Amino acid sequence: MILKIAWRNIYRNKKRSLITITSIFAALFLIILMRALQFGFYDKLIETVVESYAGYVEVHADGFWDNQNLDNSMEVDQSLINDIKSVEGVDNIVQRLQTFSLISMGNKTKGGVINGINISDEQKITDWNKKMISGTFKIGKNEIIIGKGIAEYFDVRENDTLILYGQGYRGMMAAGKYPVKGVIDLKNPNLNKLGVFMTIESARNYVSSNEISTHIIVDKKQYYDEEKIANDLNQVLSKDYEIMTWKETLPEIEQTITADSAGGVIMAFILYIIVVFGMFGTVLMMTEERKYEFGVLISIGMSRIRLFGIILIETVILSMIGVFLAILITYPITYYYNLNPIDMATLMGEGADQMIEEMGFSPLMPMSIEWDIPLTHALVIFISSLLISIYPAIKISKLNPVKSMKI
Amino acid sequence: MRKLIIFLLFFLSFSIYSQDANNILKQSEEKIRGVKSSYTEMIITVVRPKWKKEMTMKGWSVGEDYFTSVVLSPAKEKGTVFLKRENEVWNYVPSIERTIKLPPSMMMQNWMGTDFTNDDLVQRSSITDDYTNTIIGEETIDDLDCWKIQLIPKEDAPVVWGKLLMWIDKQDYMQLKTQFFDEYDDMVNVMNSKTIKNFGGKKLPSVIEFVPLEKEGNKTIVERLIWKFDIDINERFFMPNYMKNLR
Repeated sequence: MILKIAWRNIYRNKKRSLITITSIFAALFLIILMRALQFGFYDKLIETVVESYAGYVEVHADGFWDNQNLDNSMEVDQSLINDIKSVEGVDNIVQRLQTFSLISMGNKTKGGVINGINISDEQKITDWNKKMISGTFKIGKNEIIIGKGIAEYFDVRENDTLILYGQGYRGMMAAGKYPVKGVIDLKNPNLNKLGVFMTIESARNYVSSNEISTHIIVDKKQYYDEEKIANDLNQVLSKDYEIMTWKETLPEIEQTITADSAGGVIMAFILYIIVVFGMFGTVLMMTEERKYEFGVLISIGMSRIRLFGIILIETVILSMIGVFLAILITYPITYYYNLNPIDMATLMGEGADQMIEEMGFSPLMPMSIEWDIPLTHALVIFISSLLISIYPAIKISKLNPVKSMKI
Repeated sequence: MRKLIIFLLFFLSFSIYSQDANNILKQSEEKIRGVKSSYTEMIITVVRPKWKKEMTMKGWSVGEDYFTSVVLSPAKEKGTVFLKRENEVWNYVPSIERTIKLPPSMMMQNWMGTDFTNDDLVQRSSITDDYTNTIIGEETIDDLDCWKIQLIPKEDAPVVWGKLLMWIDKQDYMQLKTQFFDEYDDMVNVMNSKTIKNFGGKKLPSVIEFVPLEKEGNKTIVERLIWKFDIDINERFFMPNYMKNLR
């Protein structure tokens, strides 16, 4: 009965209802698209940097992170691997041996990071084999793959030989000549300028060590939380190991996201204020307009609480229609742009491609299709519509039917 | 008047004393380096809290300015040569067949993983010319009577230390102990010499222990097996392009 009356009220004044619905719809539409684009960008950022290099969780020997030295490396045995794999959510794991060295060819020398990797295991976690510009990812003993930036710096072609020179394990000197068997584009300028890859056995030989590793990269199964995995690993492993998530190993990514997201939250907040006041305006007008009607209803015996119920349901229905419209229309849009990411480079014109890549981002910006974006924002709008209906409630409770019916 | 004489005497004795200190240091340096040249074979042990590394080396030197050494073991580093020519340090690495002149940025790095820096190898300063030396006492170390000498660097001297203290024995002018202090008068390194042996008629400590005090559990031990003085050394030994032939 109440529902019926509420619906009739909405239907009666079509123009007023339409204005309210449109204002809710427009604001929510903008908020959802903006957040979807932002979160899509963050996901892409995490994917390009975290998934392509650092891994969601890393395990090192304790003290390695603060003093990245081969003497802080670890010997990985099967029981350690089993311990890590026993944690729920852990997918593939891979070992790496990383060390700093000088790279030299002819008269040129630059610094670089040598990555000893396990070729077959690495392909389960990273997509490096798909990022090769030239040459092969399946390198043999004492052969190397170099980042695009290094290849450009030395102007190297395949089968040219680079000299690596640095500090080895336990006071040994590390030096050797290595033929280049491939060039890789890691889609990140810093990694491209520093990365040198060889098999982990060759790297151990280079630094004159036994079976050591500096990193264990832990990949998570989809939808598992890396923080929880890190916590569980902390429980399982002894104090000799340190466990870090990408938020700790790559704090700049986390900070970029936090700062950018804060801007998004402020924008959303401004839009909310506009919506809420728009809704409040309509409700205010409606209450004033319908004072006479309310007066009549109360004087013929309708309880004030029931009357308030009608108003409440009206507001809820109006905001629900706006919210559903917004979700219904934004979903196909976000879905489309999730599959066909917006290419910022073509939007910004020529040369932008390189510029964006130099900043360390990928120019492709997909939209996020995660449901929690539209749902959280819809919930906010819904709750504010409930709060707004407090105003007519107060008005109705104080309404004097005789006075209100005097024109 | 008497006061003045006493003052003059005191002043005189002080200056004699200080010249003495310079003399002592000169004699002891000459003893180590030889008047002309020296040749040595040694074992260098790097001690770290968790591990130890041993290297054997040969070294030749002429005066203060020329020094070259070649690694004999471990096998992986065999043939690695370090050459000091006046202020330059050159490094030959056999596995890459390259001779590298160490850039200034690498001078403060450790020399072959030991506690010495490349800069220590060059040692542009001379303990007799760049320091003001005074005998500040006499002590015994391992039953040997020693002069305790304080070395304060002169203002324009190319020295990183704030002060050095050296113990030199009175009989054989052996440098038995050296303490290195920084500008804030905190002790940074200690060098102890022991196990005195007879090298070609000269009594010299065969083992030198270098201990950096800031790093607990770290030290470098140099043990001389052979030490010969004033032999003829081919000049080519100190040419950068000859380094790859040294063995």
